[in-house]
Amino acid sequence: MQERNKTTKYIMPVAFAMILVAFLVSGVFFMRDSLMKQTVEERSNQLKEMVTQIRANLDSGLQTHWNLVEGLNNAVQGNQFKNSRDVSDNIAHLENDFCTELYGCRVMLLDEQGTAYLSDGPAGIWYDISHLLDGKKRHTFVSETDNIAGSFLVFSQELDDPITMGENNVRFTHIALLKDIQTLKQYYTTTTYGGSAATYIIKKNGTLAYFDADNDDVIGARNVNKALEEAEYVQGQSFAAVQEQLDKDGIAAANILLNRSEYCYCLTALQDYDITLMLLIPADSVAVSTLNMMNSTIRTEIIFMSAMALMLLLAVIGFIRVQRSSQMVKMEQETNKELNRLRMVAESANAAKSTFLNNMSHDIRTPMNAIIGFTNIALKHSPPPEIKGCLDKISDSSEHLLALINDVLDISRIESGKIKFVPEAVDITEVSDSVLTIMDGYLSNRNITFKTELTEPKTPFVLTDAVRVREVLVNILGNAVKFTQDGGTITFAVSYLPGIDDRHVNVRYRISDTGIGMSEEFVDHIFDEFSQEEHGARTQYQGTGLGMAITKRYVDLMGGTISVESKKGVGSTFIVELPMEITDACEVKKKDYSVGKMDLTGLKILLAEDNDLNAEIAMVQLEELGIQITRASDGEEAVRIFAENPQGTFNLILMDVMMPKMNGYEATKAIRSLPNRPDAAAIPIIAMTANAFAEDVQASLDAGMNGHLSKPIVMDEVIKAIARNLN
Amino acid sequence: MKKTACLLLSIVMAATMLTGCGNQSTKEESNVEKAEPQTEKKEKVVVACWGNQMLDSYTQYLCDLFPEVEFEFVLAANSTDYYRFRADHDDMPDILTVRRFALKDAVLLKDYLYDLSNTELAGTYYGSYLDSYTYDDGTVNWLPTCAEVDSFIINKTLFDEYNVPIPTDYESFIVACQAFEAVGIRGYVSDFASDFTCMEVLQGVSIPVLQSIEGRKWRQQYESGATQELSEEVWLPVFEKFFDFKEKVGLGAEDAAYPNRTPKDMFSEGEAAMYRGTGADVITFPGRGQDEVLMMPYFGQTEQDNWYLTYPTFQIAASNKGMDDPEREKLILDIMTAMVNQQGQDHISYGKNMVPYKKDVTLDLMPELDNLKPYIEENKLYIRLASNEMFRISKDVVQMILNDEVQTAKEALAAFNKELAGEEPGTEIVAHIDTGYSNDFTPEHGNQAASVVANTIRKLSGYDLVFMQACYVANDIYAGDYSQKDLAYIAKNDGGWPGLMELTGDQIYTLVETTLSLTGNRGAVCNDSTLYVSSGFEMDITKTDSGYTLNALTMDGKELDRSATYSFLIYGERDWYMSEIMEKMGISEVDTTGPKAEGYLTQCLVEQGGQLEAPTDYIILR
Repeated sequence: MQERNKTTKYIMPVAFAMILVAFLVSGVFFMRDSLMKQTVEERSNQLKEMVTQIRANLDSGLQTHWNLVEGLNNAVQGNQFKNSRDVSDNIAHLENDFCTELYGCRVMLLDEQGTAYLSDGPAGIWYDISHLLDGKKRHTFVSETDNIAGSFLVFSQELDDPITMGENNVRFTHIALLKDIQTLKQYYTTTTYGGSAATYIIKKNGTLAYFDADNDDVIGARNVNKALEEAEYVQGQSFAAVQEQLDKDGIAAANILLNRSEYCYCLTALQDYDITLMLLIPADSVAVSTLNMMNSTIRTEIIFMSAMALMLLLAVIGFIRVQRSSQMVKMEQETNKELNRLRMVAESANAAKSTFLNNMSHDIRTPMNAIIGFTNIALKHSPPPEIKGCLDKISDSSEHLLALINDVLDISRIESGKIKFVPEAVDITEVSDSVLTIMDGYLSNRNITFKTELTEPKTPFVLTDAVRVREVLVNILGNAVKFTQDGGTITFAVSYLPGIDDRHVNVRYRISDTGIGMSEEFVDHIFDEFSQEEHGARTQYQGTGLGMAITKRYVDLMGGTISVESKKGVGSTFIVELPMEITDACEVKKKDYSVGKMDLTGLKILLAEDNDLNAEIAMVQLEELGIQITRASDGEEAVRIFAENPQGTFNLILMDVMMPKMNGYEATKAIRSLPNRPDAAAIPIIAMTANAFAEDVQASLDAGMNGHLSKPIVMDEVIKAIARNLN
Repeated sequence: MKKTACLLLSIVMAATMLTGCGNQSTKEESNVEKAEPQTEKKEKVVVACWGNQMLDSYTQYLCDLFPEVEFEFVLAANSTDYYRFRADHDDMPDILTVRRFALKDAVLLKDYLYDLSNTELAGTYYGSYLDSYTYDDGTVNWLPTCAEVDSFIINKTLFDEYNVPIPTDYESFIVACQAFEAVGIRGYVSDFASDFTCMEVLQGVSIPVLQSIEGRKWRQQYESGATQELSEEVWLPVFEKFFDFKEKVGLGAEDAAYPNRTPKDMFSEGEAAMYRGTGADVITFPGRGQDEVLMMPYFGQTEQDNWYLTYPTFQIAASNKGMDDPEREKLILDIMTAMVNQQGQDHISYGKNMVPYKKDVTLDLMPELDNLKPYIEENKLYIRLASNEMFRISKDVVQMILNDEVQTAKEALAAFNKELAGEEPGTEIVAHIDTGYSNDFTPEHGNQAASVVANTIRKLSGYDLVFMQACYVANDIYAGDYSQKDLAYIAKNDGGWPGLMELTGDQIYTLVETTLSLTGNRGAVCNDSTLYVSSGFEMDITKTDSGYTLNALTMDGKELDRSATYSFLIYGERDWYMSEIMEKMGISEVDTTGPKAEGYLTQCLVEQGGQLEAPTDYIILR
């Protein structure tokens, strides 16, 4: 019972929808059909109008000829011809007198045997004599006989009184005007249809008497009526209906398909002459404007109706859904709810991950900046030994924590595809040199023998991501320093192997040490994240366990390979091979790393920093260098201070990014766009922010800044950046 | 269960198909004994030939041209009414031919015939000729072949011998007739026993009257059915002229009895100077052998009034049966086109004695017809008024005139009109045939309908053996009622004669062998349908690539006694077939005066109230 009710619930709306859709669809078809009928009717009407005009012209023209025939009849009455020569001469005179203005006419006399006499003599029994036997006085028909060459429209009239000839009293009973049918063209030709109209003159029995058109006869039938009867009609028309209308109105039109093309034809009966005139025209040449309008209307209607049907369908679907049983609805709602919840959880997780990554960078670096900064400040104030020891541990721990944070962020960013391999033209030997410079720092307080084996490349200029290469090498060399005890040896070798073609080179770095080495088991997992061999070295050799994982990923990113051989207690050897495309020297941009003026005394710097601790750290350290600092606590204030102070008040601006009211990017743009301040565009602005990623650097440059310093700030870097920009 | 039902149904259907769906025959009567189906799968086309002239070379021409077609040629009665008879039995041949033609008669067949008006074939005709074959609704069922010229044939040599001037008009014609009569030679003679001669001469001597505007008006009214009597204005002068003609030429009762051959024989013997004849007759009967023969017009009061009388050699039409199949339609139209194109007309006219109606056909006139040329140019060619009743009544009235049964033109006109108004004779039912027989030819049984007719003739004539061309039986013998007219349609009568003779077995062998080897003869065999039927003996024949050869003749299964003598009746064409056969056999005299097929059938069915003899298996065709 419940099922039946459920079914009933659906049947009604579905049935209703189907009826409505059917109604709409049938409405479209009805409308289309109706419009098509109107089109056909319009075509027929236009054609009829045209043909009516033609018929009027033709009627008038034919009447003119009948007047002429009457004149001829009057002219010959009472004549008595001596012989056939006399007859011919008389006919010649008649033609001269009557036919001068009506080009193409010939005059003919017929004797009672049917012999035709023309101006050039007798022409034998006229084949078309049979047309004159129905008892009527006048006849008009198309004649094409062997007797008289040519096609003529004949206007024949029985003479009021027969004329006789010669001794045998040959009796002439008829006079006829033979009108060259070509000259009739002026009466029926129309230019309305661009020469596509064909004219048919049809005899009473439906057979073709004359055809005239620029094109071929598409009907191609002697019995035109039969061909029209057998043709395929459009819109329910028929030849029977056409004939009925022709009999009734004297004119009728219809549309037919001939050779798969639609044609309009119009018949008009010239009843006085037993002739029917037909115009046949390709349908697409008739009522073209009307047809276009109709088609446009039909298209619009179809679109409208389709939209209506679709809306109706959607409404019904909605109605059906509403009408579903409460249980089904509830279940569905619960399912949807759960799905939504899961979706939201997943989305939240993703968002949280992104937010975490972004915030981690900023929010952890900010306090780290304070910790490191203040530790350094404290250390510079010559603390007592026990305090200094504490401060040193704080400093070490801070740096380790910072390294850990950086590594975690790096591996996450690699996995999320945010870190890209960006090759640029570099001198590869300079990359090695910079690594060696870094290594100088690493080894400065170690007793380790550092050997280099640097092969000279054929050409040092290659396309590669120097930053990543450097990171890879520093990571490996850093590990080597870390795991090699004093007295040991580290060897850094660089060689150049042939690439896949002349334009490529494989740069091979081999870093070997005589350190503690690794077990075979660990070697298999050395590139796994957070992998550190349990050799009790964790406390001794601090690390995040992410360095080699990051290194491997960078090598993969650059299309290279990294391999490692190690033996516990003997040492390790890492081999990195990186394919690089050789480039031209001119492509390499020489980077100016010179610091230039290092004495910063007297400089005036506007510091935009919302975080008081960070502001204090920066101010203390910079002021120690003799720099005068003016602080703004947000972007808006920074803009205001710069604007309110006269030109040249500040030599440089250090700009935090994430600030209340107005962030660093906006503030930079605002300053750069200050009117009447030529220095606004020129003053160096350096981002000093916890946003440390490459895209953050780019964002700072895009905002109009000149440099980017990541927090925690390292004073050496700050000094270099200031000096570089002021130079 | 369903599978079983389907299987059973399939078996039933297959069985039905294999048995030829027996009841679907187009033959009217269920008791028609159908011939077994032929093994050869050629497209069958039945062509009804108006006369045995078509067997001469025309049928062979069609067979050669359409080897993929199995033609069935039948010799039909030369009348559109014959096709009405076949239509009544739903047995219309595919292609119809007829010489005796009037649109007035043919209109009765309109519903059975294919409309040619929009065919390419019709488009090849001169419009003025085509118009005369066009009905009021534009339909064209019939198309003419070339025009046969049928006027006065004169022996110019004879004229020269007797210094008689060649006539140029009616008066000089009469003078010539009287001049020859004076020296014991018939000036003009004709076969007034033939209905066509009576009709043609009656009209021919008054063509100027019939071709006047009034004469034409009357004819148009008559042919359209608007009038059913001869108008006094037109026809009284016609009868007056014929009385004058009869009087001045010296025609009488003797002439009324002359069959077709008599004037020709007289002309050939130099016993007559002029006779009514056709272009073909000019070729066949060239006077005394080396005489110069001319075809002259019907003479009028002045030379200006001279006209030649003509008519289409025959008309062709197609049944509309099966024409809704486009392939069949094309085939039939192709065959019809071949029948009337240049090649076809060459076979009809020998290429020289007729006038074409078609634009794409040229026929050279032979020298004897040179006189015709200016008449063609002036269109002074009268086409005879040739309705069925015109033939019949013209003969009746002309014979009355010749036999002095009517004395004046007015009486003749009244007699003519009386017959026109009366019922057509021979239409009442006079006989009933109980069993129908097919005239389809099979190698096993031959033509069963023809066998029935041959056996009936043999029985009634009392002759030992009968031999006739099977196609003389023009259609199936339908079971049912027959009028006298209908009985005449069973076998060809107007072109068939009984040739009676005594032959030895050897001569019969020769006769059959010669017959099978004939070519270019009106008795020639071109295919199975034109093979001969025998009664009283059987024929064992082999079909070869070049024709047919006789293996043996048997009588009741035993070889025919070559030394025995048999009374023998050949039924066939007399002047071409029988004369050639007899000449080859060395027989000079053949009696052809016996009854024709119609006579025997009437005797059997009407007078004796009997039934036709059963067919026999008279042939083994290998």
